[in-house]
Amino acid sequence: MIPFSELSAYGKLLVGILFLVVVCFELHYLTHAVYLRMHSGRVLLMACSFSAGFLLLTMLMEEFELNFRNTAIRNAVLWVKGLPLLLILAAIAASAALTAEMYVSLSRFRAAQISGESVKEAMDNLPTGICFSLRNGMPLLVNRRMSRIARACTGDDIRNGDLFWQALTKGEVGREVTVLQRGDHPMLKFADGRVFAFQRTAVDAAGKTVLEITAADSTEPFQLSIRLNEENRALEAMNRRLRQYSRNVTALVRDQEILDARVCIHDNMGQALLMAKYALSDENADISQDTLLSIWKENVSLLRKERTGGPEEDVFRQFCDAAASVGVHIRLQGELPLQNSDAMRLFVAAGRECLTNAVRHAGADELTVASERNGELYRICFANNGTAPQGTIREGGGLSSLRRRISRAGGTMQVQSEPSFLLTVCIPAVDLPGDQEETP
Amino acid sequence: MTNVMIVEDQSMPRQLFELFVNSSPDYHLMYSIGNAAMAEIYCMNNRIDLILMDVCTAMGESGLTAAEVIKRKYPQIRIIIVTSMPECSFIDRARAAGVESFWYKELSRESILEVMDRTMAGEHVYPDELPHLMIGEADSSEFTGRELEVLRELTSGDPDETIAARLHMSVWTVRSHIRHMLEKTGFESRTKLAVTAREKGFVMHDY
Repeated sequence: MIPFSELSAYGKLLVGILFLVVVCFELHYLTHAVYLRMHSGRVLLMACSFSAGFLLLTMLMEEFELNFRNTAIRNAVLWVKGLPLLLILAAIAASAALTAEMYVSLSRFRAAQISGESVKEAMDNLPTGICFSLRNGMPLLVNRRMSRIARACTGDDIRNGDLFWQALTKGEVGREVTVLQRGDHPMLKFADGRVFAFQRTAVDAAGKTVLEITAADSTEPFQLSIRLNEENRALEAMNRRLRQYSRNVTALVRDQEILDARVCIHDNMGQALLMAKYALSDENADISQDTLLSIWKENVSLLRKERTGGPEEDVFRQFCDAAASVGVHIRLQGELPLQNSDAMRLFVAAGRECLTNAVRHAGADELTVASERNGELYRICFANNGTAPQGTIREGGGLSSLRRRISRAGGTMQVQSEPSFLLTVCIPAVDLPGDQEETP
Repeated sequence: MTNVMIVEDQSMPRQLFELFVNSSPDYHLMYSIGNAAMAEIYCMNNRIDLILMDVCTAMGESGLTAAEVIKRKYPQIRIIIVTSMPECSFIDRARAAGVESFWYKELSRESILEVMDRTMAGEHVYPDELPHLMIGEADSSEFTGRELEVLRELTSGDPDETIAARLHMSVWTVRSHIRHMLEKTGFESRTKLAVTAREKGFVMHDY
């Protein structure tokens, strides 16, 4: 077995270079491990290996023992140089293996650690745009998506997070960007058709307040909402047609009733004709002339009314007639709502309630209705000439039901007890949307 | 002598009723009006014994609603509901309000005078069964009570959310009832279902 000291000069140089390379790698990975604050037995082992290797390498240097006068040290150096070459090569191989194992451990350690670069890299891969900035606007982190959005909006990267947010909320963006929504929740549509919804929130990070602006890709929800709106519009149009149809059906059914009544009159006429023929042809017929005359009078009367058709009755006239039947005269001042309008129905409901109260509680014989149209509202006051209420009127079933009905229609109602009863209702002059006739 | 008030908005049917009432010596026609909303006023100070009340009257006023109010305030007045609408809830509502009799204008076998006589004699005259209608492929008796409620609201043209809120049920329940009714009737759309039901007078939302 050849000792190291008996190697040729080239052999010693080759082994020394090999040893030096391994020791240099050991030093590199040891430094890296310390820098990354890697805590494990491997680091300690590597430090020992490096120290031993460095010492061994130094001792193997040519005439190194001449630097020492101490005999013990000189003998030790000479002993090392006399070690078998195979043993030294084995030591170099062990150091190399340890270095390789350290390399693998360091790679794994780095993969398991989060660094600033890894955070940035992860942020850049997000589909959402993110910008972190301080309160004064200084950007801390802007990912790739947000940088692209910023360039599309302002033509530049984000220099100040706060100014960028102000531009978004005010809709001050490039021409190629469409502002769908301004304010605290801006929404923008870009030239490629993508829609982003922006949001800014304050995040507490290690005692500092950081403002986070996010840009979420809302293209799909936006398109779905457009489709939903279109479908809702179509549905509403269909519903309007259905309501209109419902009215028409009522009219059709009434027409059917009229037709049935006409058929009935026709039958009555036929019956009257038969009876007349029977009475005229048979002297012994037991039909009196008075009966025959009465039947003909009724038929002629019905025919006359049927021919004239009868105009639609005036609702206010009906109300006056109803009031007259209970001995109350209606005095009208001003303009009434249109016939067949919601306002007219509410007027009748309110008038009926006042009339009931006037007769039952006040003993009145006159009800004054003062009505005026003020823009989109009718203001109608009801007052009677009866006795004033004893104390404040408590709204019972009738008045509270009326209040609910008026409120549902978008109107208001006031009840005054003193010095005399006065009911004031304000009701919309125009029918509620959706109940309007549909324009063809 | 029985004092009668007729509440019917269409002049021809009203005149026919007037003719029937006048033709009988037992009845006296006291008032004949076209708007159910006014009926309550006439009842206040007048001795009316019997009312012939149509359901669908002038200005969309419901005769059933008027009958409910009148029976509550003047229970001694007897009321006969007269209608040509086969709406299944009308009879139930009339019974619940305490209305004495119910008469279908076209379908009832008895004449109106017969019904008036029996009503004044203390009888409650109601049709033996509801009119049968075919809604698509389904007989009207196949619909459940809850389905009818949803169907009635469906004819209003309101969105499902509004219907659900009004009936105190979830939107999904409303849609489930509609789906069941579409399966029963064989209709492809809810609009057709609503239109057919309304057209036949099976359900009426406004009265």
